[in-house]
Amino acid sequence: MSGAAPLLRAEDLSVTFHAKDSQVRAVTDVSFEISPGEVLAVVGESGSGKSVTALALMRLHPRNTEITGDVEFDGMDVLAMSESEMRAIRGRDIAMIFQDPMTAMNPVFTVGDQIVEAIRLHNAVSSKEAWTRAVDLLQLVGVPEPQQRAAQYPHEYSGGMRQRAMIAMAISNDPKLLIADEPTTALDVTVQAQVMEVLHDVKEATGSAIMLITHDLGLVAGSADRVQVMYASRLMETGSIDDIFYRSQNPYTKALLESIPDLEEDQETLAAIPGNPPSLTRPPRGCAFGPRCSMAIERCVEKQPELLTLGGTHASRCHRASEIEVEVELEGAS
Amino acid sequence: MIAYVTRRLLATIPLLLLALYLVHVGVSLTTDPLAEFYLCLPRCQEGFDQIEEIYNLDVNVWIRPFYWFQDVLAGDLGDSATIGEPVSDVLRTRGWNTAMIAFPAFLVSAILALLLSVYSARHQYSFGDYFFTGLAFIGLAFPSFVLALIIQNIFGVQLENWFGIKPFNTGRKTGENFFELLRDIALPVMSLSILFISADSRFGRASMLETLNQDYIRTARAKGLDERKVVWKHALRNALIPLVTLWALNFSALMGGSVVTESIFSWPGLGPAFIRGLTSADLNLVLGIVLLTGTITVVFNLVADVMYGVLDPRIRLG
Amino acid sequence: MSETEIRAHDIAEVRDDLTPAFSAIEMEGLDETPKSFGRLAWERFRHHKLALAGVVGLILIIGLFFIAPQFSDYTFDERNVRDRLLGPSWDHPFGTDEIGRDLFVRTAQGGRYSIRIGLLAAIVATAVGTVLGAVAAYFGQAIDVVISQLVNLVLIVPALLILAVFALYFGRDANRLALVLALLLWTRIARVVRGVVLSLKEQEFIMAARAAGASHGRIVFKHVLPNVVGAVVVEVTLLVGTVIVLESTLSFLGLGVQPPNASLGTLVADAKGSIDSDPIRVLTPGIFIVLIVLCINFVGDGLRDALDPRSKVEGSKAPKSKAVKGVAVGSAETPGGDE
Repeated sequence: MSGAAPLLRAEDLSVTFHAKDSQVRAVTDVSFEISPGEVLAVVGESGSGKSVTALALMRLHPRNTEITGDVEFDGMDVLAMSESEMRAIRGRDIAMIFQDPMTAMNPVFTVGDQIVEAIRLHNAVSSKEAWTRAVDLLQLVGVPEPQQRAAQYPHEYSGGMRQRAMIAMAISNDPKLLIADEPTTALDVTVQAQVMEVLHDVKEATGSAIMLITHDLGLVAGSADRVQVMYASRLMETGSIDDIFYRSQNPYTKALLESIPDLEEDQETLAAIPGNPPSLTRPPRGCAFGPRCSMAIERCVEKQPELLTLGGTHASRCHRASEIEVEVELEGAS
Repeated sequence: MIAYVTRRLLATIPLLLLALYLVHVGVSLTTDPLAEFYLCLPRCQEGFDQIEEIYNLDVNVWIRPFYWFQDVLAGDLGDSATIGEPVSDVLRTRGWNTAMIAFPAFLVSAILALLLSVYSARHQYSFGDYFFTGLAFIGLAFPSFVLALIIQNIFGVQLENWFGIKPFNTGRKTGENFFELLRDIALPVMSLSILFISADSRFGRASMLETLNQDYIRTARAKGLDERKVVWKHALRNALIPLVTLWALNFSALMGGSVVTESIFSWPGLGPAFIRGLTSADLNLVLGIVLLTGTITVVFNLVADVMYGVLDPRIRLG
Repeated sequence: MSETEIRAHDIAEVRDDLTPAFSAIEMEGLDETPKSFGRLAWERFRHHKLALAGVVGLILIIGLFFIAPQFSDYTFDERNVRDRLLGPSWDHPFGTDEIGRDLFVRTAQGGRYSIRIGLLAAIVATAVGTVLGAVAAYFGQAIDVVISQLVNLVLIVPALLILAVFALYFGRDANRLALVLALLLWTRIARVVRGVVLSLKEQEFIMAARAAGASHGRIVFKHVLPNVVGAVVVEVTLLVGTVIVLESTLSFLGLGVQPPNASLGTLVADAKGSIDSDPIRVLTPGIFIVLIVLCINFVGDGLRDALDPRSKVEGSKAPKSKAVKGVAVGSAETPGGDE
């Protein structure tokens, strides 16, 4: 961990949705830090709570949501801020890129107008200046013919271009933290790589930290500094990228890694993880992954494991974490 | 765009003609304008012949409509047997009267429905939302005549000091006085508005809710936009699209002349004229009104679709 | 069939059952066995308070109209001119009219008439509309154009006109009246069904079934119709309400039910003359109409929630103006003279 003070610090963050007769615990006691300029990947299946965490950081959650814990950004207490103070931060210091670029942009306004809106919300500039900057941004993210493109509507863009435009909109005010929520999930594989490259370039150019949320471990390998793995609303394991990929000491993470298809070898069947994630309305007493874990023992059913620090930033939530041998399989990343 | 409009018109005009044809035949088959003459023959032979000629009764029923079409193309809509004036005049005066309540009713209902929709969608599940939704449900359940009767009774009779019901027997008794005019149209406009507001606000609320659930609304908030702008700039612009087409259709319905409401309030619009024409087999009058309202229907249906293309950049008509 | 074909077939079948209920399953928790579509729909309906109120209301009203008059001593056309224009009493719960007929019994008869006509018209309209709408959407092209133009034709001609002409031509007995009303209103069902089938056509499970070798007939019955049923049930329910409103309006104008029979509409017309002195007499049948339609709308809303919780507004995302108009016309009555 770098010696500098963290840009974002979340401690015991919990998010609960209150429905009519039930409540859903989407995020439970999650703690993490992001340093300036660092790329933190948050990995997990659908429903693991990773997107909800991000939305909670920006306080973009729906009504009837209870958020507890501490979130500190750039020295400010995020959860205690007023709504107008929060609005000043959104889009300026923290920006977010969403999963589906087609639906994430308003179909009735031009792309240029939407970027201009983001700019003028936080800067007192004329619309002309803002428009020029919007075109520059589009160029920066690699949208061809940005002058014409800026005057077009989102539906006239291709998927990859739309995501680039979203990125342009997000970085328009040089945010310190960029949250990318599954930025490539809705895109073709070939386009995915391009978009990740754009993100990389953007990071180099602006020095912003990135919180990359994804379920795709392959994506993580090429871009992240640190990784945290979430399952059923909790942090399962966290550490540097090497910690997670080569020295994982958590059965869930290992199962995830194993399920990545190997392009080199012949595989008869895909190594899927059997079973389904648990219900979040009635969380189990013991470890959430227990029922599906090949290493489960009685203790796993009865007691929720703690997050055990293993060394440096590496921590794992498993009763048998220390028993897991680090297999040195260095045959290339996934 | 022009290609689209032309295509649509080319497709619907034959329909309109077919409809007029069927109406002509339908009314001719079911009525006999000579009915009262049979008994007085041969005394009233002259009147008999006259009627026969006006209505082309010597020609086969199925061919007669073409004579009417011929006349119309020459600009002649004929005379109304029951009112005794040229149909075109009747259409003009009556149509104008109907417009006098249709326009205000449309404006009032459109604006109020919009405001209610936005309010209900923003404050979903609040007491206000339930209250207005409940009112809308009730409003939708009222047949127009029941509503009109109630309004007429409450506001016309019970609150006699406020409004008077103005039977329009000889046109506007109150001449150029604008204030009197307002008093005249208030009740029918209220009656019509309530019905349309109920329907529109349910639709608008649903449209607004669905819009507010879209991803781009979340993006707008993520940019730091305040809630008011999010609703009135980003959401409304999208939610309006289907609502505007509904408005176009509502307007054509209103202009068609609300038979029941106009009858109950004794308003001399197209509605009562139509009934009179039907019950006394005044063929020219009936045809004239169907021509007018049919055209309005066709035009505004087209407007509704065109509006969709205009407002939603994803659709390019052609 | 080869293995892949069987797989595709199974996928198609499984998709059918799960697709509509997916969102509910997500809420239930993925570790529980998924409930069948019917079960889920029933549960959702049960939770819809307004719909339940509507059902209760309808039961009460039907009980009032069909059973309660048994307890009265009078028939609907029995005149006791001495007892005319009486107020409500134990003997005459709603009083009497100007020729001494018991108003409660007459109101009940009017109610029964209206309901009967409503149901009959709705059923016929649904049968015709569903077939035509489905055929139009499924086979597309020429057939679709013809049927769509037929729908437009019906909409252009003023409703009142069609009804008046047919009433004059065919006589005005209740069943014929119901048929004529059905003749007007099948278009709504047709539009809705056409819209649903059109959107279904795009969806993958139809293609999967074709890939597995299913015939047109099998596709229609096994895959298309079950999905259509949901939308149709909702529309039919609402249609009954619309018919009742239309029929009472016609009867009010004198073009519907004829004496000595009564419908709620004619009762209002009868009482209209004395509205100033006795507004209650006008109000009563009118309020019953409102109550019936209100309950029907509640039930319809509950059914809509139960059978298709995801789509309340069609068409705002997939911008096909036809689909939107299906909703739009539902609220404004046929143009040219009716609300």
